[in-house]
Amino acid sequence: MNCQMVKTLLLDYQDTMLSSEQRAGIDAHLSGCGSCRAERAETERVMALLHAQAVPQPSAHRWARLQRDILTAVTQRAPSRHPSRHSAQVLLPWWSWSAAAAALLLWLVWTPVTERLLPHRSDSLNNPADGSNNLGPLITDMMTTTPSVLSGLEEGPASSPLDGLDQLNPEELQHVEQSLGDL
Amino acid sequence: MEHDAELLERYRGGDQTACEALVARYREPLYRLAYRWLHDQEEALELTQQALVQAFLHLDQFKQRSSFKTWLYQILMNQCKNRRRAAGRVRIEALSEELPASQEDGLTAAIKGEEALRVRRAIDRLPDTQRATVMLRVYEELSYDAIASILQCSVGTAKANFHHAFEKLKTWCREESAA
Repeated sequence: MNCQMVKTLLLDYQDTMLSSEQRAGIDAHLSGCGSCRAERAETERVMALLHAQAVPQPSAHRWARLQRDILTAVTQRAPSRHPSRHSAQVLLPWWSWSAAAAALLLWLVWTPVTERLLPHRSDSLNNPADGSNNLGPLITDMMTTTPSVLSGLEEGPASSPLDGLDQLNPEELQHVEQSLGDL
Repeated sequence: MEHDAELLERYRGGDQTACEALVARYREPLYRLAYRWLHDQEEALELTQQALVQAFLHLDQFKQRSSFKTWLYQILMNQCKNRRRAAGRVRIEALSEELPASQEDGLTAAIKGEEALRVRRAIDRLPDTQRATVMLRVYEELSYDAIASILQCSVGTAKANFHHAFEKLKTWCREESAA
């Protein structure tokens, strides 16, 4: 080992970063080199001065406040860090709500038509005796089984494709039923 | 003692006590480093708090390529550098405030205190990266690998920075002693 190599390694001489071979090489060189011994003494002196730089210790109360403030900030500002503690609402993508609304609307528009095509429903809807349809029980049934659709009905019942059926006479109504049956 | 990785896993699962344990584990080393950089207790505590809060708020950015400790030091060092740039200068507090109680006689303590102040001034004269390297190597006793990770440089650069910085410190201390 030459002087340049030893001077480079002296900085790490104090800790465990050097291998035992390196330390043995440095020791062997130092025993015969006064210049490097002086260098080592100077390095150790500056190291000791660096370690003499004291840091004031905060009080226990100050540490406690710091700990509390950190935990409060983390808890308040990162509510979505723990998905397991929150509802699935935050996990759904933004478009899922639009898709759900569209599906509900379609269901509201088309379900009465589909229901009307069923035989047991067509009888109850077509009441030539008083010239009106019987949509009331059907809607009541829907409200009972799925309360969530109530608001949808309140907002747009006038758009139901069954509106105006009570304006038809029995012959026209039968014609419509046959057309729908062909479909 | 539970490993950082285990505590982080528990925290990700919603366990707040894991966060408490990690804060308790790292608040003091972070504070020491911040204090040595800023020489102001309240500022150092403030940056310690900021670093820990930022770490937990952006935990998804921690990819575990380094240790959690290294990542925390990295956040803190960036904050320290920004703070120093913003301040434009480094404050030197009265040294008597921070020297530990000593059994030595007054004259010896004064000489040592004067030398310590000289070294501190010498450290503060170093460029930011060299200064950070000295602090992480000497005070935190981190490996060159960890220092390179924190300061985002190569291991060779970290070693070179430390050696250049230390040579400067030795020269300045020698010059001041002679003066």
